[in-house]
Amino acid sequence: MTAADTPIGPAGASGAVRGERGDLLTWLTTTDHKRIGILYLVASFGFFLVGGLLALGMRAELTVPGLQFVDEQTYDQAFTMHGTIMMFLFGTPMVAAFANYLVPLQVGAADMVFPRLNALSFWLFLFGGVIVLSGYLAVGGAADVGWTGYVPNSELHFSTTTGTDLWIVGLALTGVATILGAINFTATIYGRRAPGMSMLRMPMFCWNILVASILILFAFPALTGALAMLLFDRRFGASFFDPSEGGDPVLWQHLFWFFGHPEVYILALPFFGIISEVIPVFSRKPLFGYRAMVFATIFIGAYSMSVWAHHMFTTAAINLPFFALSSFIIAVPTGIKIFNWVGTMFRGKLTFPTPMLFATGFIYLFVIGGITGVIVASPPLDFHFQDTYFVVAHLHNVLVGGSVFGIFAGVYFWFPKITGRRLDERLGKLHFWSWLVGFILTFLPQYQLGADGMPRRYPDYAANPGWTELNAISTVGSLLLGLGMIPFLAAVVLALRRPPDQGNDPWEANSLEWWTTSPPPHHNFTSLPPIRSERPVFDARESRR
Amino acid sequence: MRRLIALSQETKVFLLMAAFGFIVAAIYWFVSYEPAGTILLAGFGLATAVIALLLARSDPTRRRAAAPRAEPPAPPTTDIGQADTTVSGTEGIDRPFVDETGRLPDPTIAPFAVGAGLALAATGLVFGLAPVIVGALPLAWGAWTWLSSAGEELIATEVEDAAG
Repeated sequence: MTAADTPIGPAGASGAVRGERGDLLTWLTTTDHKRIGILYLVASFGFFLVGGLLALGMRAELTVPGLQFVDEQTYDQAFTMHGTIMMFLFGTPMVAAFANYLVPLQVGAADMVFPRLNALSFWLFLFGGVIVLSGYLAVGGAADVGWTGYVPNSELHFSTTTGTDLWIVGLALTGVATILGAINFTATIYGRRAPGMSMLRMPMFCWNILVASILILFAFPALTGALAMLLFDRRFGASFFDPSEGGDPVLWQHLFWFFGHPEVYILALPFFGIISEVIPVFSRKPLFGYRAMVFATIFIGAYSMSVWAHHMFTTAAINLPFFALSSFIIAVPTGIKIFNWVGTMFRGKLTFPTPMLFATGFIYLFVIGGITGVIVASPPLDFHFQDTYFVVAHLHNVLVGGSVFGIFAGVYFWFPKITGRRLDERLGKLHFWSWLVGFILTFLPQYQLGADGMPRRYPDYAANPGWTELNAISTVGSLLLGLGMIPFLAAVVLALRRPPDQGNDPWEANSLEWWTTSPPPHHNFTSLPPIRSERPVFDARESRR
Repeated sequence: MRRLIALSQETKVFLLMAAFGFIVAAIYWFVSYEPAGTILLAGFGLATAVIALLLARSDPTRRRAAAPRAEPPAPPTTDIGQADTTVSGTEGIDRPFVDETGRLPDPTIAPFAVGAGLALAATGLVFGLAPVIVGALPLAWGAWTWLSSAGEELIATEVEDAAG
């Protein structure tokens, strides 16, 4: 008898909640971490579709030189909103989505430490996102300053649109929401672990969420502060970043990247955690080198705070050897993780359902992103690649090849837990292969374009030899990425139309969330297995055999 | 050193990060003499050190060492369907919690109202006083509702604790 077909206890089956109704009000008033996780998942996925459409528009514009079906201003707004949406309204809240749903379940808790604060985090994020997007309704249109908002471009005399002010206010709100969420995750992991779950028996996903939350606590205030200073410059006559009034534009870059580089790891670590959950399950082995993975996670977290200025090599205002060396060093713990994932798969009983396909795709694409990261961490090479498509390709290799593949691995893996239904395997595989091929076609040509010197953030380019062909390939790839979403959406719709048929543990997985029902009851557990390792459900299953 | 080793893993995570922040801030200052980055790094070290100190003061391993040895907790149940005593203990009291198996708050519109109010009020930085006034209403009502229900829960918890 496996955990998947164990009988479900009466309290576990009911899940009824006093005062909850089965309508919109239920979602507006919920403080249940699982519902809030689903709200995050749906909202950030909605933003992802908007950001994706903007990307498709930009790629269409660049298919051949001289096309120009949008003007420069519209293009500026498109790349600003695309970057902003993907970073702040999709990637970061996706972390909150998975963390909300899974952390209490994985540590054996009934809910977050602060359930109402958790709900407030979500609403602040959502309203912040709406304010950012509402810039499109403002006089002058949406923000047009790039997702990095560099001064002096973002100062009032260069960006006169009200959309930029709304961008600042909206991002500040989402930043506060993210900080509140991180407080909740940290407090829950520290204070709500089930008896027996020591720190070194926690699932790797929770470790990664813990370190990402600590990064959020110390990185996001820098962004919120910088945004407040910028708003004061723009609206209230301050001059924090205006050199003609004694301000310092490089200070913006310091503050922004002190947030911005840890943000890369905030967007990567949780999905490292997801991969660390998925690979052992489909390799039928424990995670290779659990303690080394924990150490590597903490090391990456700490070190990511000291590499911010490798984004500022060309300012001539920073110490190049310090930031080059620290950026090279951070590749070591990342390499440990990749080695351990491969070590977990080595001689395992491998199977490749869709979550595992996305997990292996993640490793492959993230390694490319890591290697090209080491290239741009070298100042002489960075001087050449700065502001070219090489950087665009590198960033997407890390954040799409890494984070988004991790997100899809997680969605396919935990969908049966969240809904009691499994996503269709054939549609899932179609989704994976169209995304893998589409991704390679979109971004590999951009490395060559960047090396050839094609600058980013321009709506047109010269018809230099090879550029038109490489851009056309890139656009075809992006179209494949867009089309690849159709099987995914179809799989979700089809699955939700079926009755729940998955047991507690359809994958025969390891961590505590697979012990309870699918979906779990409101209070998550009616009982817990003994926790003697980082794989309590595996242990319980083995002890029954 | 023995005290450091005896600290809990929770504390050590922050302690490691604090040490890292201070060491890197010092190195960075002496190689660059650049104030903004040094302050940011030292601030990171200081903030994590404060948390590490607070955690160390309330460290359960220290408390366990100081206190007389207590009986080990009963092993958690392995039978699915049997109530888990580790998350229960609120039965028999007319209380505002959502169910009787854990201290979960009732569904409430308060966070939504506070969020909407804050967001509206924040746009006052762009559009002037009007959205601040409009936003203040749901913000104040939401905050009042939130604090009231939190107060009710506190009282219910105290009643439960008093009942043993």
